[in-house]
Amino acid sequence: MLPEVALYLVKVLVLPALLGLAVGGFGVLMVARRAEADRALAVRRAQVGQALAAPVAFVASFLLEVGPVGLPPAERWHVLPYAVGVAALVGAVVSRMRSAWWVQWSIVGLILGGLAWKFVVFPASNPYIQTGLFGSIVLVGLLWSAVARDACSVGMAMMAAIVFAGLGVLMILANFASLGVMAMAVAAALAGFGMVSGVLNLRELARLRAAASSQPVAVGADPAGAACPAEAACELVPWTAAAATTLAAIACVLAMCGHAYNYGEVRPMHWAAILLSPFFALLVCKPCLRGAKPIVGVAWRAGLCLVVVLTTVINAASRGGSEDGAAAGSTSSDPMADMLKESK
Amino acid sequence: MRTLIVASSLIAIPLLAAASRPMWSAPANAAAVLAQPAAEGELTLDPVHSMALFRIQHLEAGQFWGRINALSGSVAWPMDDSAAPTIKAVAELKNIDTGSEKLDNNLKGPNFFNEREFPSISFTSTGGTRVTERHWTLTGDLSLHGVTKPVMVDCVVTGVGKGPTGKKVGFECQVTIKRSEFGMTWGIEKPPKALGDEVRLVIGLEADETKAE
Repeated sequence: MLPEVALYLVKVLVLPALLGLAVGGFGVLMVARRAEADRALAVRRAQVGQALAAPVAFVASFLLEVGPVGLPPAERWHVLPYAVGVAALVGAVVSRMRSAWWVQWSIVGLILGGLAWKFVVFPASNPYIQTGLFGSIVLVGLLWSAVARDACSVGMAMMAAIVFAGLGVLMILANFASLGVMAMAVAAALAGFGMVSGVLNLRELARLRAAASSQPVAVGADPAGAACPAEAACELVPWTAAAATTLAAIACVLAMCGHAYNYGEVRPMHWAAILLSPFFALLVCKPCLRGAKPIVGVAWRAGLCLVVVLTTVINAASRGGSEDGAAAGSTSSDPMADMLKESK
Repeated sequence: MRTLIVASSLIAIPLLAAASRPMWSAPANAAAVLAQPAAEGELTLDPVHSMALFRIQHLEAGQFWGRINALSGSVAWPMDDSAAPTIKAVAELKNIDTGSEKLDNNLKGPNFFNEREFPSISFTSTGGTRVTERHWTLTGDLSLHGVTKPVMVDCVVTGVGKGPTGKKVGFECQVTIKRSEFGMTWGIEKPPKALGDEVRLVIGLEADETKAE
């Protein structure tokens, strides 16, 4: 049984994550390989890849798990690959635009919010719920755009990975294992993308420091600080507001889907808390991080986000209890959980 | 700027909560149609004594049994057994009962029955051929998971008795289906061999002459 389960997880989780990582990471790698003066175009291309990484991982995982779906879909949640595909397209196009962050956020937020309001309709929805979905996409998009501006690219990717992993766990708790696995694939792609970006950013930082140390130093100046005054200063490919809003929109739609089909003890506030967990990254005192190693900022922001997500997930899991599983003498009601347990 | 973002985030909380209002208002379902008062000569299913048992192989090992309680519908059958029974039965998936609430919820979810979108399973017989006395092979349409397919059901009249309000007739029907043909594929290949494809249904029906109120 173990090889088959492992093969399944490789197929629906690892492969899509690697595909998403390849789409996102390739651009950053190309930027790192270019000379500093020759990077502008490569950065914009990499930002398109950045917007596509998570959607590619999700759609690949969906297709490998569920298979191709018709139009109109046989089940309402099968609209997800189409919705995420459109989100990717809009995010990628707007990422290439040379416009202010708030313009990117408003374009992507309004388009994706509007499309979700009209076309992403889960069971027992009503106009209030659809309006709430629209508002959530716009406002969570604003929050995530702000976080993307405030934190470095690695921190943003890690926070997004934590959010999607949290959503994945909530989906499994809501008895929607297949969507949970897809959310995990997105989380893995974003975490991988964050790590690749981090390694390349650190190399860039080392290069800048080496270059700075070879220059004559003015009296009173700090060579390392001058080369990289803050955690985000040395990043190769900063997140665009369009990519951040696209990610937020996908997260909102997945959370709404998980809630619409919730057969567990997951409460609305659990989904909301996880979507808004990057908010706490904004509370990190930016001036306090000046001069600190880049990893300190990432650790603080991602750490705060992780604490919120973990607390939420533990609370949701504890609500379910194990009363009837124990009564029935079974260890788990979830076939997938059973198999994973067996394979250990 | 930061104040604006923080304020917006605080606005987002109630909006997200509003968006997540309870969504499980039960949609109208076929049971309401089929549970109408029976026509003259028709028998009405007694939900308390009518249920469907389903059997499926778990992890290539044991045969797991679950049941769906409180079937509703009607049966038309001449007591002299001169014609095949005509059965219209509806199983509401909210009445699924495996002995574990967690497993019930898992089965109701979108990986299996997707009860929010497809709240019931229904069978309507369209004809039948006699096997022996009070034993028929019924043909009919089975609707499951949004897919309707013709099936052949083995049906035995288990007895005719008398209840406090009139005659009661018992039926036991059996059919084996492949759930993948109804679009329920989770657990067959992905994840591999978690659950079997073949599902055996054993349906116990008790119908009485008393019209439904």
